[in-house]
Amino acid sequence: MTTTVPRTSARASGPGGAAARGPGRRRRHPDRPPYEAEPGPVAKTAKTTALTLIVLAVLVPLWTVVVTSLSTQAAINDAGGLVLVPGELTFKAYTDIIAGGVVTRAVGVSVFVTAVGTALSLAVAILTAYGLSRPGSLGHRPILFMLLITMFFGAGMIPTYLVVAGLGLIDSLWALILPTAVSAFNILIMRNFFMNIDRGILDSARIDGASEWRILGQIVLPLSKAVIAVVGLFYGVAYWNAFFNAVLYINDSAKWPLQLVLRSYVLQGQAVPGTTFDPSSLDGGQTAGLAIQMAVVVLAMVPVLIVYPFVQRHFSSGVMIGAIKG
Amino acid sequence: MNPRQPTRIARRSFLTLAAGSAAAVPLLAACGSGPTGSESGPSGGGAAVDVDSVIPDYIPRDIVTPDFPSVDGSTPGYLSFPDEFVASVEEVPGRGSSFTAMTPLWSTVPPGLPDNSYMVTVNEEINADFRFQITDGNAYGEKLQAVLAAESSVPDFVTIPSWTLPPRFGQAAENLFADLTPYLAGDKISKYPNLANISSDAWRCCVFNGKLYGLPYPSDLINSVIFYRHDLTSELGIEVAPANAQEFLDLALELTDPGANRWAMNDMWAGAQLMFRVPDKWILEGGNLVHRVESEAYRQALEFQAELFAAGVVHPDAVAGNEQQARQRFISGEVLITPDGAGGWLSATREAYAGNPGYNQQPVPAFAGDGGTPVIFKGTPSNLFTFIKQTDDTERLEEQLALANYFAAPFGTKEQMLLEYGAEGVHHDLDEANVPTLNETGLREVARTYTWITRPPIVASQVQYPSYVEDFATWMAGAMEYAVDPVFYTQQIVEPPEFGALEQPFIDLEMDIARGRSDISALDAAVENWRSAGGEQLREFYAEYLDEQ
Amino acid sequence: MTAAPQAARRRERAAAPAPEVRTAPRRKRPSLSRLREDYPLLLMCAPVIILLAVFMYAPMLGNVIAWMDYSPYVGILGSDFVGWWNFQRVVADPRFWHAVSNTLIITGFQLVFFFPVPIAMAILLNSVLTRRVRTAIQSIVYLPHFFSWVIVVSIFQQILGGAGLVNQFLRSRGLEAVEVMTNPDTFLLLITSQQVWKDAGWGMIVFLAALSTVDRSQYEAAAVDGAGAWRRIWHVTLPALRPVIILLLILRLGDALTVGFEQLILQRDAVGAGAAEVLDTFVYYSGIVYGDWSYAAAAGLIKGTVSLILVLGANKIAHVFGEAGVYQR
Repeated sequence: MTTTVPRTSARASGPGGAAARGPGRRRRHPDRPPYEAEPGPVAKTAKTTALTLIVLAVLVPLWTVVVTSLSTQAAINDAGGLVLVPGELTFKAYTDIIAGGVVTRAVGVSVFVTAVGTALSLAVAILTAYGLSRPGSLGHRPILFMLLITMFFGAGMIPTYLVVAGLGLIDSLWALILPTAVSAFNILIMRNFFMNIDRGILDSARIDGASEWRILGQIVLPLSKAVIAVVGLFYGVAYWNAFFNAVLYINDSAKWPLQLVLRSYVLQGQAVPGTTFDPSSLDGGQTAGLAIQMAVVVLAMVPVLIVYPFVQRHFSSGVMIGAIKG
Repeated sequence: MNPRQPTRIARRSFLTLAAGSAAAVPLLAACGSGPTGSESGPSGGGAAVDVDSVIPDYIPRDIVTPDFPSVDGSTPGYLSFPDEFVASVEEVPGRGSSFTAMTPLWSTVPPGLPDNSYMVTVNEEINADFRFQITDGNAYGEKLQAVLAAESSVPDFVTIPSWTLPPRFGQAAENLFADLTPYLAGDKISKYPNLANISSDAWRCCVFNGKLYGLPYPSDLINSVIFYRHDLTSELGIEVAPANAQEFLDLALELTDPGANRWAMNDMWAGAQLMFRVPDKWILEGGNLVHRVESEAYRQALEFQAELFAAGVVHPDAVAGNEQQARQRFISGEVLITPDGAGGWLSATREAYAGNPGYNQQPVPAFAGDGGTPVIFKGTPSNLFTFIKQTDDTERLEEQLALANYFAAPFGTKEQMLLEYGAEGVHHDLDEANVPTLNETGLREVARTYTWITRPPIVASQVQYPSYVEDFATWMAGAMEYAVDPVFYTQQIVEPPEFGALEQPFIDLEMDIARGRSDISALDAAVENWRSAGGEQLREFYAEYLDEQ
Repeated sequence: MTAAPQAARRRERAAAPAPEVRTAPRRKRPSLSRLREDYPLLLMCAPVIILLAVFMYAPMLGNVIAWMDYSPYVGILGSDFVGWWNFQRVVADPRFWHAVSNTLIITGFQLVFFFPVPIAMAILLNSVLTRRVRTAIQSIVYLPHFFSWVIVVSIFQQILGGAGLVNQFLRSRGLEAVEVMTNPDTFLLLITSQQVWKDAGWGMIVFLAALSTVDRSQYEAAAVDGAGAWRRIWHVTLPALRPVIILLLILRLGDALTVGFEQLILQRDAVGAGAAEVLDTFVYYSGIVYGDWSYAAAAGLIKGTVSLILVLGANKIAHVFGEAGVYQR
């Protein structure tokens, strides 16, 4: 995928050729397209500084979160909160969470809900986005409007609960998928990408007698890997992070998703806010130190860290469309 | 029995909920039910019935004599476990029925049945198949409303924290829950000796619409405390025993040293209200109801609060409204004084001991802002209630009450040991002094879900912190001297929902005045506005209840 | 202006009007014939229609409680109609209008200072040539999205708060501490930087995806015609991003009345309701908290209606400028 057409083109010795020569000059970047001039030192410094700052702004807090999750209570007390400079380290927070025994099962639930939910939502989104993407097709405006409405008018919690309960979905994992399966936002994004595909290709396929299903499957989808990856990521993350529907619809704690289980570690032993009721004062109650809370943050992030590179692959290189168009 | 500062609850509970994501709809209500509209008064709701005629008799049970006995209802203390655990329930309470129970959770979620040997053991022991619908405690109010709105999804037992009692709960009680009066009122309670061991005040809280609906969850009567770090102030050589507000401020200035990353206190609003005798909701002045926001006490507390903030003795993160880490700041010694609930004493101590065995927090001895006699308004005698779903099956209902009686087994009994610590050798081990320690299985599986349904009178029995038990029990026994019943104490009054937001402007005003964004004079306008926006109606609404007394 | 970008744009435009020509006559055909032609497209929309009908529209009927004095325990059938009373309660409150104005100010500010950031970051990152560096940065910057607001605010407090790192440093140098977290005057700046920190990297992803569809040969063509780096961004990159930008801009406008609920509630005490009260928090504190469902429903309907009007309006404006927007004409 890194082999871009321009690099191998005849113009390779063009404007950039000079930059590589001469003592003291920086070597020309091998990936720089030949038509592009080597940026001046000021631009280069500015860019490097900006990127470094951005990365540091993210990494430093992330670092403190990770270090805090690995710190002993004493080290946290010394730091008076999040720990920046690692002192005494321990994996206790992680082992405590995992030794609870509930986490493994909850991971299973979350993986199921996320995988099935994302697949379903993505399928629905692709179909809808394509179904609505041809200008002037019959009925697309009212359906689009119906979709748009849901972005601004919510259904209340109680009526939704009554519907879910009425369908017999209480304690079913489908209750964590179906009510949130449609995101108008995601569908609109996808439709937007579909609509920017060169219409000429689609129209000529149509003239050749290809069915809409074939056009979607054989032309649109292969051209839309980037947006499918992104929307899939959005859906996946939403399913993975969701916990409130589980609070409402799942009574059996054996079916709790990971986020809800992790939340119970965060809430563990905190005074009930605003009241003087303090569950941790009950005999034997345990309290969650900051380390556990931060370990929860880290654990919740791990799956995303694992999945993201695979998703990113689909939109970090961009020659496909050009190649096909050309 | 209004929880303290009812309107504050919602915001705070949101804060923790916000650790997740969804919008929160926790609820508040003073406590309980009553008329459903502003028009109907107490008589309309049937509250005219004499409460004392529907509550159970109080028949105390002396299983183990406490080392520090209760004084006027204060929490007693035990320094040791008994040599032998006695049985307080003679028959197996269950008849093999299955029950569902919705209970809150503020701890790590235990493994569910059938993987939880603790629940399996207890279910066998009580001969009932309990299935718990464990629900995230900080999202409890929301789920509760949804569950109660769908009648078919209401479980057999529903635990409801007093601060999540939904508005118009009276309707829910009448339509959904069993009236326990015919089973428990007066001497009928003698069938259930452990339930009879629960104080009358706690039972009074369970009366809705003139009928006994709930099972109580006995709680500490004094619940608002100002704590200080005794270990650290001793190190600094500073004595903490202010006699009035000025001395308190002087002390705070002395303790504050930003250069050493040390401030005197967290947000002291709860403490300031304690010092200036601010009521939860109403006080009686010359036979008239005066709302807290109208009271002179409230004004003084606000002024003092502003003084504290202006003096720079409040930790900057507390100024920035970070209540999440208030306890963390106290434990780490960044602040030396903090207001907290009575239960916070144990929680903080337990948390701090892990990293600091020398940790010692103590209550600031009670004092009044003006140097006079302090007043401590009593906290609710029952923090939560459990309701039983309506059923025509009397036998089933009696089985449920027998089970509740089992769950109320007091300190020192076999039943209580089983519920708290599981089975000996399986979930806990006893040392030579009979002190139980949960083992690995116990730590993983023992979840105190059963005792949400009801529990025995609260005691301090954390013998592993012996000085704590003694300090706590003697402190509370002493503080009872200043304890006063608030107006409408233990009475279930729920305001019509349109009055709910009346106090909201004051919560913002409290923040603004404290931080100097508003002048105290803004209070007058706010009070005027409160009166015209419904405050007077609210007063009339409550006055009707007052007439009933 | 050089020829190449023009050519590039011409190419872009050439693609757009083509279907218009094709579809125009189709519209005039009788519905039956259109149905025969378009039924596969309708079929594709069937799942979404079913899901929306069951899980959104059916419960949405519950909004009728906005005209009722609703109690969940007697249900909708048992509650009384009260006309527009709940709506009046919302609108009659001066605090409502204060909240609306705060909300719009925050939205406006963030449209200028937050909205372009992910776009700029995407372009900046896209210009990083070394694949490894680019990938590495990409897989780091989105991570703060996974921090809850509680943690984001805590982190800001630990760094910028009165007892935070910066102020500890200042004090140790004998300097005056700077109050950032509790200053209502700079609050707008504070919450926007928090938002940038938390969500800019995440927001960038969709633009990266859009950039990946850019035909590289256009850059080349532009360069051949002598366009410099900035020009190429202006004439090739931005036009490629334009449809997504316009779409997101319209949707953001539709969401003008929604700004960081959790974020603001968490910092409300710090700066006071004067600066931090927005529409959602207002409704929360004056209705939802008290279980006043009818009030909340009425406020929700008001907000939804305004949002819908805003979106449709923005869409119209987009059409005027020749953009597709959410809806085609």
